[in-house]
Amino acid sequence: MSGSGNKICMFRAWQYVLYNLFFILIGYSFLLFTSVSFADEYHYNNIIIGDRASGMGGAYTAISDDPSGLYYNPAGIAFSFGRSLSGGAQAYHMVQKEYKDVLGGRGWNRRSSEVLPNYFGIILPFGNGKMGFSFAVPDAILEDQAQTFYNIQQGIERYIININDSDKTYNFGPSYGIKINERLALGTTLYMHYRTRNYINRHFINFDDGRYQWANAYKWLTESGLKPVFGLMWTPADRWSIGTTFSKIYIFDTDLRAQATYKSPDYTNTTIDYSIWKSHDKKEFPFVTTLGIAYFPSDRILFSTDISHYTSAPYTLRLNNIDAGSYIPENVSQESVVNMAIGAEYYPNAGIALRGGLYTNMANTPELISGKTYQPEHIDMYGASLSVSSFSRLSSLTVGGNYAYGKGKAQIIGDDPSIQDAVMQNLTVFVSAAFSY
Amino acid sequence: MNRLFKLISSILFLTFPVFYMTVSHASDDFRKRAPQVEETFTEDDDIRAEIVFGRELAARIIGKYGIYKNNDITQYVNMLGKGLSQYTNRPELEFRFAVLDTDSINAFAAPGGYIFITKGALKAIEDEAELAGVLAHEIAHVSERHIVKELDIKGKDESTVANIGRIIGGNTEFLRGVFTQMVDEAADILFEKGFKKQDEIDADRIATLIITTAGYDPSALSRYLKKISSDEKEGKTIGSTHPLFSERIEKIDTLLVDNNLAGKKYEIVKERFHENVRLR
Repeated sequence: MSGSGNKICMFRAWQYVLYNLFFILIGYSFLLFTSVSFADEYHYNNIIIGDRASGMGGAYTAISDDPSGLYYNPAGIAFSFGRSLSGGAQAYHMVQKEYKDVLGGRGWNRRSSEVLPNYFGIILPFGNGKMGFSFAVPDAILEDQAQTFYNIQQGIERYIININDSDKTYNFGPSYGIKINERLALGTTLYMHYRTRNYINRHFINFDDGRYQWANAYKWLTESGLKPVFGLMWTPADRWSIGTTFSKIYIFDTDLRAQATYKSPDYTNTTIDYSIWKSHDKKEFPFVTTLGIAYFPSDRILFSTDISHYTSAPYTLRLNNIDAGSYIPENVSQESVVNMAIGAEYYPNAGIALRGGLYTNMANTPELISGKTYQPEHIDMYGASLSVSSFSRLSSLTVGGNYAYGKGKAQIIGDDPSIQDAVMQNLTVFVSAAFSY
Repeated sequence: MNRLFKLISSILFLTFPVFYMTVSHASDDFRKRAPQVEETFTEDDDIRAEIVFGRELAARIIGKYGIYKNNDITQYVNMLGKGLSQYTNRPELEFRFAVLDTDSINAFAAPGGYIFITKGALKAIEDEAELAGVLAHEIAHVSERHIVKELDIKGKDESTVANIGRIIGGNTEFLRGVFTQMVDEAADILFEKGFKKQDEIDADRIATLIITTAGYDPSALSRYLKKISSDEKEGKTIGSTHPLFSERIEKIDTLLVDNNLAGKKYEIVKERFHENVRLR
């Protein structure tokens, strides 16, 4: 676990900030592993959006006939019933990761939890079709933890890790869906993609001999872009529906700033080493194709399935050292991914709906290979969802949740070829309301 | 997984045109879920809302075309229409019939039982059975609440801003604005977009059964549609809100054959029609 040759795992460019500063000065690499990104950039299906869709595991591309459809398949809103629809959801979202055998043989946990506005959408008639506006939070992290570890290694009395990480991605924008004929509808959504992240990571270590050292890392990120979505909804036969969507996020502005400060155990002067880094390089996102099939045997039951393909999206990020005038290039590999979801909906009577679903959230990182170093974690996740809705004449209230679990591998210490077992859990509980008039 | 995705995509891509060409019709009604399907409109407030909404829409129709002022014809059309309305499942509604002062060939139905036929349509009609078929078709749009369902018109729900019951009672500019928008949409259906194809086919089926039950020639509506569809080809009719004549005629003819009604001699009542409708 320790040793002067150990380095930090660096799979995101900002982590080089820590690496360059710490690698030179610190002989205790475990001080650095917490720089592993907690924001779930390694998966694409982190928060399932919408009330009805969430209960069905997100298998909604071939349904999409309510405000959730603005997010899943805008063509589906052309088939929405009623004059006007609106819906919103509040969700409690929790993510937990456990890395086994990290701190002196003990595991290390990271946990994020928060209540967030998960979704809002409204649909109105417009011309021969339907228009809508929606707001979604497809990814969110709020990590606020203070951990103290004792006697993790000989010579160290206490090791403290404080992390505060707020990382949110917002999608919002208009949609339009129109029936070309009674079997075919087309739709489009133009989402504004906005991500903001504020990250503070503090380490403090107390040695048995009374010396101490600390390191702080700060990171600010804003990312703006557009996410056009094109959708098609087709009725090939009575009671069958097929939906497909194509989308990709195009980033037009990134502002990434990072700063690191450090005090070594033997340093006694008053000035503190620090570095400031910036980058405006744009992240690459995959082209996403989703295909959904739904079968409506009766007005009381339906089955739906989605399959989504994400292309590989490699890109290079250069983190510029403001003082040194140099930069570190980082080649980020994002592999192609396929996620699947199946869902069902059942109405025991006209006032109650029960929904259930299964879904995957596969990692976009390669599987870890023995003997290699600097490998990002790889955890494929499998989830299940449930929800129940109660209907009044023009409104509905839905309570539900989804839970995903995955086991995988991680390499917390980047240049150490040892590989740790990792477990990841993702829980979302939501309450939502929908209205029509 | 990638291979599976490509395989499914390829199959769907290749089969899309085959399905598209072979499937002649698919209604989107199957997408409705139980809460949307099982709504009932038996409460007094709902019926009142339907009537108030229909009255407003009827005013729009009259405003657009004007009433053809001929008491004899209006009385005759009302007598016939009210008789036919007895065969519907809406005894709570009082159906009213009027003739519109336009030579375009068309007929309209507003919720609540307001039925209109144009002077042009009366000129094209040759007997009472055909007139009964046209009126029964419009009555069916009302009895099946096609506009009511399409626009989700309701009269009693504490949670809705478009509660027509509240709008009727006065209230705010906003609520009246919502009501006006809904009437605009209904007018758009009548004058521009037309009913959904399945609604038209259902109305034809119900109309044929009504006139048959009333003792008229079951093929009267089919005959009328054939006539105005040929007129449409010659540019004589509007007919834009009643599209797809050939498919509708085919469906009616199939209904007649399936029910052993094709070729049966029923009343067409030509003389009485011409005694009461003197427009030529």
